[in-house]
Amino acid sequence: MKSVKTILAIGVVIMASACEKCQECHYEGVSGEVEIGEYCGDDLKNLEDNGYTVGDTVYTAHCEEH
Amino acid sequence: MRYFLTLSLFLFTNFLSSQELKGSVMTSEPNGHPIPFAHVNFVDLGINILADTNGYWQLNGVNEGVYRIEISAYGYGSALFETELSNVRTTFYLSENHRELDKLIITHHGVLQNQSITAIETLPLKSIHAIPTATLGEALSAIPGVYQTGIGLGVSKPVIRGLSGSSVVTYVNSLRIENQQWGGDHGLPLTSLGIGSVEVIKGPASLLYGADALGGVLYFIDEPYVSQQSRQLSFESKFNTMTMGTSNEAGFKMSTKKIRFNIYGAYDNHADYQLPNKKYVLNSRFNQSAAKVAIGYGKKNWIVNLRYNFYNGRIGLPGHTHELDVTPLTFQTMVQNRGENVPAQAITNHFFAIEQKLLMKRHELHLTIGHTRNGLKEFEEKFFTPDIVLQLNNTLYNAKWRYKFTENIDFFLGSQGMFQQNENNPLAPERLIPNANTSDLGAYTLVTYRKDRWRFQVGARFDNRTIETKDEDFIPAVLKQYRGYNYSAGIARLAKKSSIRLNVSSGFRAPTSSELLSDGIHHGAFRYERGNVALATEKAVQIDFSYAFHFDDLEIIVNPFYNRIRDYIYLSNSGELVEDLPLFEYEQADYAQLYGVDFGFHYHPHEAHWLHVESSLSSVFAEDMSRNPLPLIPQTRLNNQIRIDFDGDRKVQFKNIMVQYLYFFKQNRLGVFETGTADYHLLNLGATLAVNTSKPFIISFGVRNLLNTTYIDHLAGLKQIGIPNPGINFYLGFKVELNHNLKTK
Repeated sequence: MKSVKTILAIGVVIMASACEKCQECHYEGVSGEVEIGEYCGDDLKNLEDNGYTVGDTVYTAHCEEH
Repeated sequence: MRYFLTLSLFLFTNFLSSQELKGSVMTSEPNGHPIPFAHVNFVDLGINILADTNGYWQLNGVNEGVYRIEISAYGYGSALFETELSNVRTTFYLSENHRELDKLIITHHGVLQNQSITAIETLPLKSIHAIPTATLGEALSAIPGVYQTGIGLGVSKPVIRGLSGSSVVTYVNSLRIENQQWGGDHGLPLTSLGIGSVEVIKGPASLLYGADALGGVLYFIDEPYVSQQSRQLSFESKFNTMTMGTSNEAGFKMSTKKIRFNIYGAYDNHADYQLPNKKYVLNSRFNQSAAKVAIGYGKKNWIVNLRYNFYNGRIGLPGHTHELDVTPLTFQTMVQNRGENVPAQAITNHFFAIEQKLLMKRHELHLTIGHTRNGLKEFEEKFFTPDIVLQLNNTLYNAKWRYKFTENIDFFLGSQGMFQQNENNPLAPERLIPNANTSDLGAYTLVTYRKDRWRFQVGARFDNRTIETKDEDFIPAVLKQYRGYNYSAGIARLAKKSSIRLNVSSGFRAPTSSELLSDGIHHGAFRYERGNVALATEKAVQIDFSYAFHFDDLEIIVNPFYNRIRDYIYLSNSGELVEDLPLFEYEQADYAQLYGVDFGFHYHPHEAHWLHVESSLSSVFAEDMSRNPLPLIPQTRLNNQIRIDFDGDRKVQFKNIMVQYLYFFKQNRLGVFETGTADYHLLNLGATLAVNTSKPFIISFGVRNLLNTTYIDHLAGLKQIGIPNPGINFYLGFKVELNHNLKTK
């Protein structure tokens, strides 16, 4: 019974951690591509929806693999 | 009401005479002996039973009547009998199997393929999958006259005699499947899970299959249920090096005397595919899961099947970049990846059908009612917010009545209809096509006549299609009605040594809502598409002739065709750019003509039963009324294969070895703005071996594109960005089937 619980617990941890989506992102600045690091989960969704703000300028963030 | 009561009374009387049908299977020699464990397959009832050690079989609880029965046994030929069964014992005779050239194949209409008037190609899936492929679409392209187009490996669309998309209709067990097939990046909406065989009807086939089937029809048939009073558990796993891809599936089948069911599940996961230069095509990855359930029940002369198919896939769309200086190397990487990326499509399908069949002495009634739901999300640059979200719901029916007028004359009356709703999610930021409701209603009649070696067939059909859209911000409301009048006539002379078939058939295809009204970027197809509300229906007439020689160990078939399409709809590159993408507009030519030939050859010498030599050549030419070539027409293809079968019962026993050589001729008949394609050769090698333990299993291994040839197929969607097809690919697979007989009371 103990081993079943352990396996279930490991499964839950794996499933929970696997759901978090992380990507390296960048934006196209005036002088070219600017890397802004890795974003995960809700932060990634916010970045996609609202863009990346530098001063008064909001840039579209690109997080696809390339 | 009076007619209804008459029909009810008539049906009721047919329920009354439930019987015990019985018989035996014997060898056909003068002093014939029983054949033990012969398979007795009641084709119309969908019931398989196994004869006992004395060749004796028995089936309870069905009515007396005329049934089509397929009898087969290991080491003997198989045969199809259409015979009247009663409680008097019936004996079937089989002769010893000397060869496998004329393998018995029954079409979904319940007739033998070699007795069919139309040139219908019926193939068990395992025969076209002998050297396994990553996708079902790729497997289908081994059939003469069938090709594939698409994007990478994840999106594969069938092409029949040069036509694809909305001109090819897909059926799964009498249920018509709709999946936004107008889109160049919307592939075949199913996997090979639980599919037993596929039938290909080449050319216009509106008579039996309704509107749109101008290029042809793909008719997928599920695997049969297992023999009565038995169950089977199966596992199959495949791995290939080109995508480091895995395909795993499991199935459970069980049949009792009344209920039978098949349940399957599968999951495939493929990383970016590898090119001959050892690099990988960025974002060509895909994963898909599928499930399938079929439940069958029969009582007396009534058979019902409930079928459900589920598909969920996420398919990467390669060819995306923000770079200004773009070369083919832009889309290639040194690292193979399989994680989620964008652009991508996420597809979810649910197909549900109830099939009912009522069998009487001279009558058969078939009724299928189904619903399909296709969800498509296109992610362009964001992982969480799809740009296009389309939901396609389709409710449909398919009804057929067959009346056996005399021993030689069959009469068919049928009707098909569907109501389709295609809706954009209002929250999605983009829409390529407007919301539309489409309704189809069609009815047909068909008569077949047999006299000695001759077969005749003639039929007619009427269809009505209505397309209605609502007023939306960017497109005005449209209400269009299209009518189609179609016919089919065929004659065949089927002799022992030769068969001749001549068919004339017509078809029509009403423009789709995308062809009428699209106005937006189609990211998967790398273009801006604009519809044309003035489009009329396409009308096609095909003349199809085939001549086949059948010798004891040699078969040769020649099948030329000519298909003329009036008001041909095509996508034309306008030469302009809209939002940095080439603008493609739908236009219509007075007519187009497609013609060509399929040639087949099969040699299976008497002196060497273990050897099969097969060859086929498929060629299609297409041009408009000014004899200018049409774009995206497949290269002429030569397909040669040699298979060596091994007999034996060693613990580890080779079952067969197969070598396949494909040659694709260069394509230099080009449409406007189209580029040519060089010829190329492909060599594939495969082997199967059986491990005979208490739980026997099959291992298959081999290599596709053995010479690591760098090539780009003329129909490949990635051709325009210079990305080649996959390089060398080693594969390994195993399959185990655990069979068990249930106890009988």
